[in-house]
Amino acid sequence: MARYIVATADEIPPGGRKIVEVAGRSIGVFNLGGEFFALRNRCPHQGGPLCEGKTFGLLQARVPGAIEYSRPGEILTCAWHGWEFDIRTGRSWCAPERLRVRRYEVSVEPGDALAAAADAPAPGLVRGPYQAEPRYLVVEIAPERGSNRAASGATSGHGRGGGRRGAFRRRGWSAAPTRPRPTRWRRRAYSSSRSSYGPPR
Amino acid sequence: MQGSPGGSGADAGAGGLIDCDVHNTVPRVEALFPYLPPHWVEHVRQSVFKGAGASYYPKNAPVAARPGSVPPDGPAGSSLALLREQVLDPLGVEVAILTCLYAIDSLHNPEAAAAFASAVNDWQIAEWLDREPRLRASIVVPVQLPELAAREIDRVGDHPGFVQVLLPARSEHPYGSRLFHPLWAAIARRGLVAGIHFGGAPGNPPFPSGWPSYFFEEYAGMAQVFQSQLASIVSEGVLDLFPTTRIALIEGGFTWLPAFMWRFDKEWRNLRQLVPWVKRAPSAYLREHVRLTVQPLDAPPTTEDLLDTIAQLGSDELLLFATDYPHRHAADPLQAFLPHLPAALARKIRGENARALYGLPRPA
Repeated sequence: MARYIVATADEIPPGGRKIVEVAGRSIGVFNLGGEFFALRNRCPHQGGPLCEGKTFGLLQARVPGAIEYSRPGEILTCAWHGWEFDIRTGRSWCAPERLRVRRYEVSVEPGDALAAAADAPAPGLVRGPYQAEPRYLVVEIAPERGSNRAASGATSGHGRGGGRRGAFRRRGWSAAPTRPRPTRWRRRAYSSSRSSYGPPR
Repeated sequence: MQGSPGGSGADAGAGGLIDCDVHNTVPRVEALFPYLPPHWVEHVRQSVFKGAGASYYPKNAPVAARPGSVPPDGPAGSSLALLREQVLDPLGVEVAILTCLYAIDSLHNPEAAAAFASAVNDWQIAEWLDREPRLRASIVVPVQLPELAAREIDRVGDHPGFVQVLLPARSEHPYGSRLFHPLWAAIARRGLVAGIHFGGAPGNPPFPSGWPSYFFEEYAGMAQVFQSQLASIVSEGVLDLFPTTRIALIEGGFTWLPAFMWRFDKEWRNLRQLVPWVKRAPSAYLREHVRLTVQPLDAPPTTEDLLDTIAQLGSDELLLFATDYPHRHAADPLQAFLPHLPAALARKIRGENARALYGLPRPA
């Protein structure tokens, strides 16, 4: 587990965001009413710059016309295709159990404590010396499964070059080598096997 | 026999055969006189008005009437005796669902539309349902007048012979529109199936791009009308407002459905904020609420293509056997399609799916 100082807390006002590059990742840090959340800036659908998308509230309705609008600003819509993600949980609206964006823990810490701690975080984007005020945002990043990219510092998954990931790529739409962690989406799409006529799983 | 790839599906299992599309045709307007109010009888006698047109098909088109289905005293589909002789007896049909295409939707006089719909339904009870226990029927309604349609559904909807309300695929407004919510409410109240059938005479073109020139175009292109109705019904929340709704798409084909579901689901992920009452992927609604008859079959080039398409439907519960009598799609309806299917699937299509859809009792 590596910790990175990515911003001072007052850099990101409520409703605001900052997109940072740390440990080879593009990450969006959001302030929802004073609470901070961090999401990977790569949509699990096709790799689009998710954290550059617009935010909206949660729209629900039991029946036509009975619209309930809540949690304004807490739903992030991908800049490419508009798929909705809950900033608090990283879960998508369309398939919350299967399709999520990676989220990271964010803590708000005073600078003097950071400097004194035994496991002092890497400087990330904010250079010292750290002081008691303002407070600092620290993002925790675990190494990816099956990958040592956290140490490599490589940057990817951001911008148009990162498209066509996931389901399409695995089906041979791209000649690029397979990523170690396939996207969760469409893994359980209904079977094209002729012998399987069961209902959708 | 079970599971063998060829020849097994036509007679697989012991389940009864249910034919989900058999047309009963009003032979001529005079046949409705016993069921019409006196002033409408007088009106027909004294004017040139002969009631609504009864068929969307050119009379002599090869698909319109199978050989021998035209009785001496009326059009194809008007004879119960011929129906018994050509379908019910030789195929061993346990239950056939009548789909009377009397074009009430073409009548712009609202009183006439309501009166003729009631007359056709009473004619169906007296001349078909009361005479043949293997038959069930579809309520004909003035669909262009949803309040009156709901009244007619309430009037006859509890008759045990009526299992469905017939809605022409072509409509003046898409069926999800709130204009139609009284109609859906009545269908749900009486526990009936909404049978959306090929055709319709609402007055607007069968294509949103305008009027086609040839019957060929209209006949081959009707799938887009069915698609637009499904898009409307799901998107406008009919299935959320009336969650017990069951829909049969009749004579619309089914090979277009997988591609339509892919697109429908994809756009829902982008645009569902516009229709937040649509809570699940549209394909999930469709697989739960919609069934489709198999004739006329879209005829994929190979059996493999057909089986691939059926697998892409994502459920073995969607398809319903139908002959579409007296229209002709195959010399032997039982051999045209079912023998190519795995036995378990063929058994569902032969009858189990329709039994569940229409709530028909299990055979003794």
